[in-house]
Amino acid sequence: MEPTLTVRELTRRFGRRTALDRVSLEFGTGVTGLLGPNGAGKTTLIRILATTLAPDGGGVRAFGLDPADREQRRALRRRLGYLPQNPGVYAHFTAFELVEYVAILKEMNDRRARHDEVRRVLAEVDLGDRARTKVRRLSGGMRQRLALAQALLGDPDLIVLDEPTVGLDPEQRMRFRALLSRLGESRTVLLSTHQTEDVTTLCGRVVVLKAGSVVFEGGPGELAARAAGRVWLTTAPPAGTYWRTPDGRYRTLGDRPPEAVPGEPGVEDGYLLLLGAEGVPA
Amino acid sequence: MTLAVFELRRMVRNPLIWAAVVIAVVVEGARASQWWPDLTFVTVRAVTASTLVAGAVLVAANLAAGRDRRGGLPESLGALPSRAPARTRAVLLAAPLAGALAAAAVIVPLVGYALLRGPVAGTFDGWEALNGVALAALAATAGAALARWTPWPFTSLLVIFGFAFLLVANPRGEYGGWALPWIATHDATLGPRPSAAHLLYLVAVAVAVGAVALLRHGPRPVPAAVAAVSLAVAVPVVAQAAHLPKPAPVACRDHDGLTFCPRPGHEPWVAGWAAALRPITSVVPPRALARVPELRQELYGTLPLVWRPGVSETGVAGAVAESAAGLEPGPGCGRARTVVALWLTGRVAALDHERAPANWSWPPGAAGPGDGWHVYPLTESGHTAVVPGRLNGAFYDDADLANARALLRDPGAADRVRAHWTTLTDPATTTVDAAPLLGIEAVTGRGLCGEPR
Ligand SMILES: Nc1ncnc2c1ncn2[C@@H]1O[C@H](COP(=O)(O)OP(=O)(O)OP(=O)(O)O)[C@@H](O)[C@H]1O
Ligand SMILES: [Mg+2]
Repeated sequence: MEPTLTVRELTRRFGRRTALDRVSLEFGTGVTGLLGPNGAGKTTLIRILATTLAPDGGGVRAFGLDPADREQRRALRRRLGYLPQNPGVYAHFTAFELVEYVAILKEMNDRRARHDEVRRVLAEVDLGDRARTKVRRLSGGMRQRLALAQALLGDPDLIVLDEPTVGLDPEQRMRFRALLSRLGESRTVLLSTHQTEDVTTLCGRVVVLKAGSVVFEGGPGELAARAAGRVWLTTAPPAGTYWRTPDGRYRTLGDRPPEAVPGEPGVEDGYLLLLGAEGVPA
Repeated sequence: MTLAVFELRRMVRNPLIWAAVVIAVVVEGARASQWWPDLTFVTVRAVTASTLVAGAVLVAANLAAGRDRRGGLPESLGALPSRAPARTRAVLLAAPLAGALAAAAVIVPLVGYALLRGPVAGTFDGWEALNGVALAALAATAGAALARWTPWPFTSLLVIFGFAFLLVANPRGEYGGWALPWIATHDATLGPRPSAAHLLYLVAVAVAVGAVALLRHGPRPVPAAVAAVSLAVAVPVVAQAAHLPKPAPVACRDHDGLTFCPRPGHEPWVAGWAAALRPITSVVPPRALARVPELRQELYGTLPLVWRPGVSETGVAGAVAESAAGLEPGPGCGRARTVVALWLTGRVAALDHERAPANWSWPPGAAGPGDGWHVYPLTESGHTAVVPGRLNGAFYDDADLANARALLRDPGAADRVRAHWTTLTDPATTTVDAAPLLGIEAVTGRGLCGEPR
């Protein structure tokens, strides 16, 4: 893999709290998923990559551009699509106006081409028929898709999405996955999520952050494989944390409970074991 | 530039601005319809009305310029190549243009309405009209500057309230004078207004305020120089404007035996005034009319600066009738010439207008009334009241009014008054003496014709 985006020794502190601690990563063409518990530093990393937050230490290099430099940062922004974790909207704009506003700020000056592009991205997120609707009349999931649409403007080379699937219904989630996997064929896509399902179905690569540090880097299969031999199914409720499966058995992680049979490990199992979540032995 | 066009399109469709335009046109148009159109005044009033639009534009520009810091969007916008100064510049281009259009949408219809109504007096001052346009543009840059320098949108409302207070509480501009962004009340006796200079002043201030808005993005030489140069223009201009040119000389002209002295540009109203006074001039003999002093149109003059049909006639008719009948200020109760003067006045304007409202009592110990007002003992209560000029200072009582009304009801009265004019206007002739000549049964008064305090 030829890296398009490199992160070296990235550190960011907020007061006395270290949100990112000397993180070094490489990203290439394809979709990378970013997992980690609340407060792990996912958003901090994404904001630094989206050039809206400056690191305290270390550096980023994307397509050979250094965002620490004013002009190179601007050049990078021209090739960037960004969906923040809490994308704002102007309630009194129409969907079309909102995306067009962003398009203008993305320096799309030709009116015709810009309008075509706005229509294209609205269609990508299935909002083509809502272009003239005021944003305040859109549902929460529609607003999320609208925010996603503006991140797709201009077909950027680098797409960073902070929890893009929040609020999407299953149909839209599927649509979104289809869209991203298509983009991942030629672009560098990074998305953070709490849905391990997103990672399983979409990402060629997973990065797990914990307390500002990278604790895993690899394919989703590798993450799932970490749980091999540690997923169990029992007929009686075992000790520790467990949940009932639809077939009436009990699923648990860790050491084998008495009379348990092995279960099929998934990305989530690997993730939970990796983090040593409560009730789950690390 | 693309962004400026986008902002302009939004501004032009802004309902707040349009509501202000409609309210300003309707309210000021309704008000203006009660007066004879005076283009000088109409323009000043239209510009004053357009301050409402300026307020709306200030709010709209403030919201537009502050938009990139609201609605959770800063994070998204931060990742875009276009920078904040470009957004400020776009609003600084679009909002003044939209404001200028909206102000013009107020001023043009109001001036057009005046032209349609006629008889039009005064002169249309294009610079004056452009003052309203420039004020809206200034408000737009001020809105943008406020958005950049203060984090809260309501500061724009505070600024508007401040200026609205200054406008309402200080209508003649005692405080601020020509440095105020508007010239609310036009004092015609001051002569031509320095409207071109004031326009230059407004434009210079608008440019300076726009430059100040841009300076928020860092101390750059260009906006700093622009701000300095425009302030260097604005300050001496407004100081210069304080020295007003002398008004043009007043030319008097005779009409129907009276001498009218309209202000320059108000000659078209002379025929209207003469027509309004014809019920008097058609009865009074020429030698009596010759006693009437020149009717001068000035502040506190016999002819008011502005003319409101149905209201303004009373004062002028009273003044003409009083002079023609030889009345003097002071008690006139029970005199035939008082009845004649009241009757003449009543031929032009309803005498009811002359009644003092019972609740207008003058507070004890207060200073005396000013020009055009006097103290009158109220018939009903015995209290004194302050009432506007009744027969320009001659007093009368209910008996005189009753006799004049009786005379008004008599269609043959005009001929009899004409025939016995000399006797009737003799100061020694009492109403009782004159009753047979007037053909009325004289009512006698109850001695309430008091002295002014
Ligand atoms: N603007 C900020 N000011 C102060 N502290 C911050 C700020 N942003 C993040 N932090 C802190 O940095 C740490 C990492 O936060 P970050 O938002 O990156 O987490 P996250 O992985 O995105 O979490 P989540 O899954 O909840 O979105 C947290 O401890 C958080 O409190
Ligand atoms: Mg986050």
